[in-house]
Amino acid sequence: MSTTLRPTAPAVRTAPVGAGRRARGTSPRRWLLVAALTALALLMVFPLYWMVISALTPGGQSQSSEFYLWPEAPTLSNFGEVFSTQPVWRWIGNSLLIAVVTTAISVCVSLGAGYALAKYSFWGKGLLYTAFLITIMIPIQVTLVPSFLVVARLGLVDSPWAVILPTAFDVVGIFIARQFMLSVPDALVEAARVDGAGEFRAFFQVVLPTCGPLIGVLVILAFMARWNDFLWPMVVLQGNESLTVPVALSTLTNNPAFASPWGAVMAVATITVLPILVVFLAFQRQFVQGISSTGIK
Amino acid sequence: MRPPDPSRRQILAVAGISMAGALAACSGADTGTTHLRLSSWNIPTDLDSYQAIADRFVEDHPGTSVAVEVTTGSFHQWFITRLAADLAPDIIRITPQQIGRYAANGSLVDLTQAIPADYQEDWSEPFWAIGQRENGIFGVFQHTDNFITFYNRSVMEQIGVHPPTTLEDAWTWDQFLEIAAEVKKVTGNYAFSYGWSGPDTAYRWMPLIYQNGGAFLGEDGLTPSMDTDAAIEALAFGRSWYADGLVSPSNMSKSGGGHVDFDLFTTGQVGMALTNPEAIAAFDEAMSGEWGTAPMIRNVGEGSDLGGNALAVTRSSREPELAAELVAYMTSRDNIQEFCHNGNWIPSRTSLDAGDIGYADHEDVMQQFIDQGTTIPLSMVKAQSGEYFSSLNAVFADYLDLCLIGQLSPQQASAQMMEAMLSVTTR
Amino acid sequence: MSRPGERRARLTPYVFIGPAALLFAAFSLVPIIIAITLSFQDTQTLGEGEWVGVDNFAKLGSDRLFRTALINTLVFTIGTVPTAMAAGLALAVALNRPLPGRGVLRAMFFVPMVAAGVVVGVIMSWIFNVDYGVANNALAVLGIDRIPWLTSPNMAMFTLIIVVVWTRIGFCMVIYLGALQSIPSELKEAASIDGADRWARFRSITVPMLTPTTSILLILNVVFSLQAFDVIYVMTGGGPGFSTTVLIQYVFRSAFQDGQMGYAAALGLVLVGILLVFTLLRQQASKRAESFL
Repeated sequence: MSTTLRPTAPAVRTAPVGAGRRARGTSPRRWLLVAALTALALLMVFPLYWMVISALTPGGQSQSSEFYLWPEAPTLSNFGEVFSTQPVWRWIGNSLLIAVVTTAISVCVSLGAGYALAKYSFWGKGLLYTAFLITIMIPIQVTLVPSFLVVARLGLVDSPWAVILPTAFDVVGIFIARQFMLSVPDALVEAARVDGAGEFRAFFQVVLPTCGPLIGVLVILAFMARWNDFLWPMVVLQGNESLTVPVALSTLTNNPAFASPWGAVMAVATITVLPILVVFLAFQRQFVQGISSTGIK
Repeated sequence: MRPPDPSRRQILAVAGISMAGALAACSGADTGTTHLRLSSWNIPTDLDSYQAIADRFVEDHPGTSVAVEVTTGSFHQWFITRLAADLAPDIIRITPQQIGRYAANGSLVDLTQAIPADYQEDWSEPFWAIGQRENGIFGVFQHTDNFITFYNRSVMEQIGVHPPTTLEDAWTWDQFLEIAAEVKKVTGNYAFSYGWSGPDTAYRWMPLIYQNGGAFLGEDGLTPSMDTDAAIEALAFGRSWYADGLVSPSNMSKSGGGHVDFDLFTTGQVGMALTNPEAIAAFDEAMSGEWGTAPMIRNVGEGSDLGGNALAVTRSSREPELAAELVAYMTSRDNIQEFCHNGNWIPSRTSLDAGDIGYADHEDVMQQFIDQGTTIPLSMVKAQSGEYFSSLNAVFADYLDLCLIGQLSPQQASAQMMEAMLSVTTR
Repeated sequence: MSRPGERRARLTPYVFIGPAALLFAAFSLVPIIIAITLSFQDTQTLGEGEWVGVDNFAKLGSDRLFRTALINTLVFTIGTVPTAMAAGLALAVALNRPLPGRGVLRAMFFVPMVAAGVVVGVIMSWIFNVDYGVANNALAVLGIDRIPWLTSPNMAMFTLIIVVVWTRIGFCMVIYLGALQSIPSELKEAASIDGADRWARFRSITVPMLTPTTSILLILNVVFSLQAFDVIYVMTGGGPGFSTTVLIQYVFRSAFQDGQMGYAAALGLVLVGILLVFTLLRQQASKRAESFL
C-alpha cells in the first residue's frame, strides 16, 4: 500500500532524536538517510545489547570506569548459576502457559466486545465504553488490594487462573478491535443477514475471516503485555515454583534485605526479554501490515 | 418429582463427601496434615537452610508439613495485600524496620507461650527489643548484620596509615575526615562510599546521628528529636562528605539500583567503604586479598546499622501455636548456628561467636561484625522498630537527601524533617 | 409482541460483549467500587476504616508533596508524550519509503518496547551512572566532562524523560507506519500534480489524515506516562530530593509505605479525574477537527 511513484522527502521535523533528513531523489542522499537511521537504531538497541553483555560478563568487570563494548572474557557462568540455583525452567513454563492461555482468551473476548461496540447500538453501550476507559486510567496500586480480595474470595490465589482471568480483560485490545470493526463495511453484514444467516453465523463466517490482520495484532500485543506483566502476578502467585519470569526477576532486584549478584539479575532479565524479541522479530512484518489494516485512522 | 429413594440418597451423600475430600486434596494439603508456610527473601542458600531445619521439625511433629516460599516484589505491598485477604504465610522473615507497624496493629501473633524463658538471656537488650513489646513478643531476631569500615590495602599503604582493629581505637569523625582527604588524593576521585541500596534503606545512615550523641526519636520511641544540636551537627557532617567531594553524588539513599558502594570500591574510585558483609563476596570476586576491615567510625558515641532479619507469626496463620513453636525451634542456638554457617550470616545470639559458627572464610572479619553489633544503641533499635517507622523512614530519606545534596542547610533539613515527622506521629 | 428474530437481534450485542462485561464486572468494577468507598474512609492498613467523607480530598489541597508530585507529573507527561509521538511519526515517515534494510531497522526501533519497566530501570540506572556508567565513559573517550544524569535535581527529570521516550518511540512508530500505509496514494499524487511541494503535502494531506491515529496515540501515551512507576522508582526513587517524585509513586507510597489506604484511593481517583477531563477535552477537539475534514 505504500507505493510511491517517485522518491519523496521525509518530513523535515526537528525531532529531538534527529531523525529525518532531506533525501531528494539521488541515491547517495538515500544512503545517507539509511546510515543516519542505522546509527539511530543502534543507539536504540544499545541498552538491551548492554543487558546481554552484562549477562555474559563475569561479575566484576561490568562496573569498570573504562569504556568497552565487548567483555574480555564472555562467559555463560551467570546463566549457569541462575539455572542451577533457581527453578528457571518452571518460571519460563509458567510464563508461557499464562501468556498463551490469557492471549487466547483475551483475543476472543476483545473480538466479541469490539464487534458489539462497533456494529451495534444497545442500551448501556456508552456507559460500558466509559467504564472500560476508567479501568485503564485508575492506578493499579489503588485497586490492588480490592482486586486481591476478589480473587481470594473466589479461591484462586496462587493458581494461574488468578492471573489469567483478570488480565484476559484487555481494554487496549478491545479498543483496537473496535476500531478495526468500525471499518468493516456494514453492507457485508447486511448481505449475510439478507441471505438468512443468524447474527452469530454472520459474525463467524463473514466478519471474522476479514479480521486476519486484526487478530495478528491482537495476538502480538496481548502476548507481549501478558508476558511482561509483573505487578499483578506478583501479588497473586505464591510459591517460588509458580512464579513467572518477570515476577521472579523482581524477587531478585526488589529487595532491601540483600542485593542479588548483578550478573544473575542481568541473566534473568535477558531471559525475560528474549522470547518476546524472537516472537516479535518473526512476526514483525505481519504486525505492521496488521496495524495498517486495522485502519486506525 | 419423586424424592430420591434411600439408596440414591446414600449415593448422593457418598458422592458429596468424596467430592469434599477431593476438593480438600486439591487445596494442596492432605486433610490429615497441618501445613505451615514460611516466607523468605529469594536467597537460594537460605531457602535450603530453612527447609532443612523445617524438615527436622516435621520429623519431630508427625502430621505436619512445612513449605518455604519467597516474598515477591515490594515487601509492604506484598504483605498488606496478603494480610487483607487473610492469606499471609504462617511465618514471615521480616526486617527490624518493617516489623514495627505490624507488631502494633495486630497483624502479628504473640509468641510468648512458645518462647522458652531462657531465650531472652542469650540476646542483647537491643536485639531482643526488636520483637519485644509491652504486650507480648512479636518476633525473634534471627540474624543480624551491620556496617564496618572496609579499606583498600594499597591505598592505606600509600598514605601511610595503619587502620585500627579494636572498637576502642575506631576512627573518630575528625580522624576519619583527615584520612579521607588523603585517600581522595590517592584515588583521584572520591574518598569513600556508604552502603545504601535503595530508597527503602535510608535508615542505614541513622547511626551517625547516634554517634554524635543525638537520636531520631526520644526515649519514649515516639517523640521526634531531630532538632537537637547533636542531630544538626551530624547532618552537617554528612553534608560535608558531598561538599568536599569525598563521596560520589550517585551514592545516596534514593539513587539507582544495585550496590553503588561496592562498584565504586572495586573500580578504585574510592579507597574506603562503610558497608555490610555482603561486600565481602563482591570484593573477593573483584580484588581478593587487597582489602581489609576496621571498625565502624565513631564520635562521642558509637553506632552501626541495624541489619538482619527476625521471624514472626502472622495472624493469617490457622495454626499459630504450631507456627510459634517452629519459630522457637528455628531460633534455637543450634539452628541459628547452622543457618548462619550456611548463609554467612551473623548470629543474633550473644553466646555465638565466629569460632562457634565456623565460617568458611574471613572468620576474623565476621568476628569484627559480631563485635560491632554490640555498638548498636537500644534507643535506635526502638526507634526503627517502632510503629511509625515505615513512614518515618521515607521522611528521613526525603530530608536527608535534600541536606546531602545541599538543597537544604542542615538547620532547614532538621526543621522540615521534624515537621514531617510530627505529621506522621500525630496521625 | 416482538418476533423471536427481533428479540434475538436485540440480545446479540449483549452476548458478544458479555464475556468482556463479565470479566470487567468481577475484576474491575468491584475493585473500583471498593476503592471509591475506601477514598471516603480513613483506613489504616487493616481493619475497619472510619468514614470521613471528603476529608481525604480536602487534605490533598494542603499537601505540599501532592502539589510537587502533580507538577512533576505534568512536566514528565509533557516531556514524554509529544516527543515520543513526534519522533515516532518522523521515523514512520522515514521508514515508509523503500529503503534497503528497512524491515530490520523497523524491528530495531521497536525492540525497546519488549523490556519491562523494572529491567529498563535497572539497565538505565547503570548506563547513566555518573561515575562508571557507559554513557559517561563514552563521553570521557570523546573528551567531554561527565554529566550528572541522575544526580542533579535538574538533570534527573530530563534523563527520565529520555529513557521513557526511548521505550515509547517504537510503539508510536509502528502505529503511525500502519496509518501512513492506509493513506491512499492517489490523494498524495493528486496534490503533487496540483503543484504542492512535499512539506505542504505533508502538512495538508498526511497530518490531517493521521488525526484519528494521533488521537488514540495521545490517549494511550498519556495514560502510560501517568502510570509509569517502575522505571522511575528504580532509577531515582523519586529523588534527588523530590525532583522526580510523580503522582503514581505518591499513590504507592501512601498506600503501602504509609499504610494510608483511604488517602491513596483518593489520590488515585484524582488521577482518574485528570485523565477523564483530558479525554473529554480531546474528544471535543477531535470532533471539531473532524468537522473540517
